[in-house]
Amino acid sequence: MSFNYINNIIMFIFLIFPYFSFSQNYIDSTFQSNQPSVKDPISSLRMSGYFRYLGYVRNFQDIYALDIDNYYSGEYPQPTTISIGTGYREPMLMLSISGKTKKKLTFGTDLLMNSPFNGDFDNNLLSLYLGSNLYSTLNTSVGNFSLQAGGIRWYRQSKLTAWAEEGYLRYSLFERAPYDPLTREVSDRYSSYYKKGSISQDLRFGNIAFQGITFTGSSMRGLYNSELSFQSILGKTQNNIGEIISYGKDDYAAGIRVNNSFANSSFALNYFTSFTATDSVRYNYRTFSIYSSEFDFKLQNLRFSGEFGLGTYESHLIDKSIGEIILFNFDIPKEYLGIPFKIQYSRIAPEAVNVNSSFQNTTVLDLVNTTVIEEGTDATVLSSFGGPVNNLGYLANNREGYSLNTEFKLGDLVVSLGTGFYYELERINSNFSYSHNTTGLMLSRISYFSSGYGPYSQFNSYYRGVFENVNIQDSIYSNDSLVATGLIDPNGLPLFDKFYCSSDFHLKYKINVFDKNLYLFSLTNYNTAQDFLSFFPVINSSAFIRSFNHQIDVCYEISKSTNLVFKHATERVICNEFTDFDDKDPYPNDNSWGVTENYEPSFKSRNQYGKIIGAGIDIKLNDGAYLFLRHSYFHFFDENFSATNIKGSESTFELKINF
Amino acid sequence: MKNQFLSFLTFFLLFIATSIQAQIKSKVWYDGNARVMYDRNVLAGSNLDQTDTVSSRSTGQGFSKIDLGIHFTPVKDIEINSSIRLQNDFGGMWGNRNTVALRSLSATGVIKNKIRFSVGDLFLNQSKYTLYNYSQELAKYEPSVFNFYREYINYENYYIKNYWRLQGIQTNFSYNMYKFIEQIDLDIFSSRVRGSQWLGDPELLMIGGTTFIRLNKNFKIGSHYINTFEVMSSSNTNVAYYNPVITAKIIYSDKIYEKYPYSLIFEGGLSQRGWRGDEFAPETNGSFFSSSFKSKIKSSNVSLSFRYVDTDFRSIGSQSRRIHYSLTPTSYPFYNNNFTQRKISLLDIVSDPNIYNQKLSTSLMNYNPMYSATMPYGDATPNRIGAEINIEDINVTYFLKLNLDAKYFTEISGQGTREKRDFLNGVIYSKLFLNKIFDLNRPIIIETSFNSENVKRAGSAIEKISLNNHLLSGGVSIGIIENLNLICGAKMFSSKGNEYLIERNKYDEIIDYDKVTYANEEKIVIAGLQYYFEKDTYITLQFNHFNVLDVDNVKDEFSMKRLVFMFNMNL
Repeated sequence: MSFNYINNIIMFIFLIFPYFSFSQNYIDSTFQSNQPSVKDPISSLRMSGYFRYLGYVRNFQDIYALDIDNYYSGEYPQPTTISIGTGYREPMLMLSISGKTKKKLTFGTDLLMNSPFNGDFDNNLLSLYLGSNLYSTLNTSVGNFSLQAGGIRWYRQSKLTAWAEEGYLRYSLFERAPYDPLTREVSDRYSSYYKKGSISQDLRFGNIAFQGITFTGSSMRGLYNSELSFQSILGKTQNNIGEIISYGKDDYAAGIRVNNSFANSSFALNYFTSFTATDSVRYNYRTFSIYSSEFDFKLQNLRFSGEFGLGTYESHLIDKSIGEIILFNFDIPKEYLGIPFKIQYSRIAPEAVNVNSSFQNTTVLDLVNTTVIEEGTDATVLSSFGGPVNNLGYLANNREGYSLNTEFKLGDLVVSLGTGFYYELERINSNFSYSHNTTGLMLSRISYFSSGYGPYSQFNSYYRGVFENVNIQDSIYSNDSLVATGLIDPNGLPLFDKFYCSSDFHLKYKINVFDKNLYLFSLTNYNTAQDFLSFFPVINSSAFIRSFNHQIDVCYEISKSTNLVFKHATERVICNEFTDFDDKDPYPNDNSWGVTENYEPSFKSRNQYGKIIGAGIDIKLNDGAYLFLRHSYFHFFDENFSATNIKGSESTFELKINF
Repeated sequence: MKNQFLSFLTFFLLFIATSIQAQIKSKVWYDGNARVMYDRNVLAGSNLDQTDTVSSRSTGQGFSKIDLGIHFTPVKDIEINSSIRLQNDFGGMWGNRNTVALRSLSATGVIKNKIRFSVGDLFLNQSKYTLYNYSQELAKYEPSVFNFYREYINYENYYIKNYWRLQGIQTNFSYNMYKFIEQIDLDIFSSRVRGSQWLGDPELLMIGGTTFIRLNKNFKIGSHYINTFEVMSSSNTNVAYYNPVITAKIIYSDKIYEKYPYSLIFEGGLSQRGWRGDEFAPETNGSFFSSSFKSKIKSSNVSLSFRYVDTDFRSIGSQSRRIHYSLTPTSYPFYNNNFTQRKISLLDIVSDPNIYNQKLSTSLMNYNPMYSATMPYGDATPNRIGAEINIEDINVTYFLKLNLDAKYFTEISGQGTREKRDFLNGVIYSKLFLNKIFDLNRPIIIETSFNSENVKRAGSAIEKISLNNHLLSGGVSIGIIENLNLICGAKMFSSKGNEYLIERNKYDEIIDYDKVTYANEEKIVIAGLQYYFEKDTYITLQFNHFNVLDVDNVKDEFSMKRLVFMFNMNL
């Protein structure tokens, strides 16, 4: 048999068969080598999302020089930056796809599409934004249950277990975050903040990113007509993705909360744990856990709420240590004292560690190197370690303290203020850290997710913020000679206790100017760190660090679709003589390229100034389509560390369309 | 460029349908599959602190993915299908470890209500001797508690029934007549098995055709033809592979006593395989013949068949295997202090999609006689003559069902000797409905299957072969509440005896034999919960224990525990 002959026949038929015509209809019972499609379609598929085009232009008038070993030395190479989007992973087009199948099963996924629009067509990006999720719900006579598995889910459990702290919702509205939702009307962002004290926030606000399995139950009958509910997770939080050794090694978190709600009260039990293997075999590890109870009830209209329990930390090198965690809130309504008060007491032992909760870790250095993987880049330091000088409402472990907050109205003026003081329970290190509340966003855009940049390697950037570390010195200059401070022992350990004070003063005012609404917001934060107890922030140089921030936002509603916005901000950070001082040339090799020649150290500590003045327009183009323009000048400099002098302007053009 | 293409495609598929609605009436619909799977493997075994101080004590991985199938009809009777995979691996956040990929793209349609065609990604199947994707070994009559692994493996490897996934064009149509011939079916396809490679192998194409002529309602004759060949001019080589196969088929169907339907099927064919331009390459010509009787008696399906497949019968489309024994297993590919490379074992066959093959192979792929000695290449296994009986769905009583399968085959030519191997393979499967016995509301089902395979060759001490492979499988499924089942199952595998592994050169000629002895014992135990929403949509959480032991080499015993979660949703 000649196979070539058959080949030719087949090829011939194959090529000419379409030209034949047939008198018979197609018959389904015919032999078919191809698999027929038999699947049923999905009953519904929904797409939503937003398009956000962010044009960004920055121009430095003054900027420090760069001196990076084996890489670059010289003048700052790019005084002008033009980009579409910033250096963060922010979608230009976020397309959310969700669908429902039978039996109450749903799925969802989201796509991120970005283009740098820089003339290079190969750099377009299409990837998943938060991931793919599957959901199922089951409503039974026992209760309602739901299970979710897959990509990132925004999760919170309790303040001390899994939570992202929101503080007392005192912030500036001038700068917009990529995830800020669009409002119904152009002025809603400002009017809502004035009236309610908060603005609509993205789902992630106050939550941590979690990936894995979430199982929840609700509407279950408890004792005495109470209602039981629970929520549980098993998987990875954003702090379990570091791949310290390699992909696939143990790095998990798990948590459960069981809540019992009565008519006017609720009680809950919490457990949260994280385990990380730190060597390839898994002989080495570190783990921390939180066991807590929550309560929330009212007596005589006085509200008592809070959480208390135990926290543990253990590693292959450190035996399990246990410490207490207490968070107690006492709310006094205005009928008692004329204005409402919120009193908070907190005590978090140094042994209680948790990098996924509302309180910051300041005691376990290993856990500070928690990581964020940004589009495949190296892991970056996320948070500070040495005693952080936090804003009011932001807690840390190894601290005990109190805070008092209130909010009341005087005519059209809304006054929101608070103060708090805290002290460390154990002497662990002699360092402090503080964030730049006002200029942090601008400084963070100089070098995204970086540690130790700036002329003195002082800046450390995280998402939309920057912090600096401050070291207490064992000796300082006095009359041109070094003298011991008596604050540090020969082993480098502190001989002093740390005390912190923080305060907020927030004013919100609305007036009518030329028949149009004008909103004025004034936010003042003043935080200090010192080595003595003070109930209020210290105003003299006895404090190691004094951080003052004042931000004024103005919004003028010139038409139904247009707002003018203005901002003025001031930042002052003053450190006393016991902290780092300028005693060396930050560019020792500057002779080769002539930058800051003849540098003369000031031998003084930080004395920083930050200023921002900006203006912008919010325009509603259509329902769900907004244009936001911003332009601001900034200047950040340090009188004593003279190479720190950053001056310039930033402009943004943001077109956001929801669909 | 890939990203650009994907961006374009996504936009196109997701938006174009709505945007062009005003211009042409377009319908869009969606289907697909969504799956979340997490597993954590823990190295088990006694004395690990002495025998294995280098392997990780545990590893975990997982993914969540949605394969979104998008179908739209731009014009009447034409459908464009695509499947886009949106996957993120467990532990990947903020853009790390995620994939957006095109999984399949095809168009199908009917021209003038007469000719059906498909272009792009196709799933093709012809005859068991020309183009057929045989199931993996030891899969027959597997208890259903193991189905989720099997379904996962088959899905990831594009195994739909016994179709091979190929890329090309296919068409079929039929022609009805009124006199001597009632109907003629014609099916033709052309596919690209391997594309051109820069300075590499030439293009490998496959063309095929099938015709069936129905003479009357009982009698049908047909023929399959397939040819897989390299296009010499597509590379700088002077050698081109070719492998045409042609078969003829006669099917007679009727009823016994007007009650029991039956079919008699006869099929025979020829194959040729060679390398044009290579003077050292042999041209092999082979043949096969098979006859079978199939009937349905009461609820049971009965099948008796006889097969003869020549030693030199070669058919790339039907002799390519699913399991690729040269691939590395995913879980613990190396273990113990000697950094021993782990061979593919039953645990991988059951649970690892990465050891499976999605491409047709131009030469006979290796197999492991421990797991399949009788029919390693399915019905198209060369050098076999014998018979098979298969009875399925025997309702012994109202609470017990049985399936039986028995094969006896011998070699046609001895390998390395005049003596020939005898193969005896039997599988029995039972399904016991305990809830029916005790009249319970919730299902309690016990499934058992026993697969026994015996290979024997007589002769002198060096010629003698005696190999016994046994797989005992069991599964229990207990309904706790509606749709929620407690499941547990086990597989106990043993292989004892000796065999000769065949070494072949690039022309598939036997060049050597390796004597091997087997004293293997493998165990798989699973237990967990499974909640069914509907068929193919379920959640399961299971504990697995795997053990692989070579009794003659106990120091290389491998033991592993696994916790696995799977949420599978057919969209």
